[in-house]
Amino acid sequence: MLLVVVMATDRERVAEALRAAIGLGLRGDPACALLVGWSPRLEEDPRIARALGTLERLGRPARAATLAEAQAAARAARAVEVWTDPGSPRRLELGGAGGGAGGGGGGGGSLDPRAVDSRRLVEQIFEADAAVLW
Amino acid sequence: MTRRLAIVVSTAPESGDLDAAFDLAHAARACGAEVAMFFMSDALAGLPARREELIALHDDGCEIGVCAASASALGLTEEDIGLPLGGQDDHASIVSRADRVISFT
Repeated sequence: MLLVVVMATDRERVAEALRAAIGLGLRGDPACALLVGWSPRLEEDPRIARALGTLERLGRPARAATLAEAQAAARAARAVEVWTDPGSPRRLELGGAGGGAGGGGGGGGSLDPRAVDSRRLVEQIFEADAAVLW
Repeated sequence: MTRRLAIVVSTAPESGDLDAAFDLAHAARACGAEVAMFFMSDALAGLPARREELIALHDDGCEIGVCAASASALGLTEEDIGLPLGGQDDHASIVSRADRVISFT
């Protein structure tokens, strides 16, 4: 499952996130979009309404979800794109045996991707069972 | 077996995500990983300034996808980017074939 988590509230960002959610399914992979903190007013934007309609017609409608539901879905997904508003803080969550936040491994964790050495970060990403940048 | 990292970037360059994405791509190449990058939305605004770096990554074997619709929206051409433009099909392909995906979105 390829998962798009839409946490953005900015209409431009939401429209782009939904466009990405449509695009990710183009190669036949199962793809799903979850809308966290969704406001129905966003559907007043024609780009958003059109994208939601397209996802529905494709048989994979976007659906509203809580953050906890999105986090649970992310743990089960093969790849995750989290779409946020500009200026949102970043946290990389590493799941499984290799993903210790402090570099020690053991049970996963989270870290600021800009606060660690890039090569060590790459090693942690591949050692972990999963990596999601929230 | 060679590991494959996909990096997706959609945020404006002032977010710092583009810098982090390029740092990650260079580090992954230095670690021997295959790297594929897909750029869409506001991220493209930062690509003309990194044109040579982008071409160098491409020449180093990285797969680079750049959304043509986003380029058009920003008034950017292939010449500005330095590489052929693509679309959401590239996005799907790059993510689908990756062992890990880091998404600066």
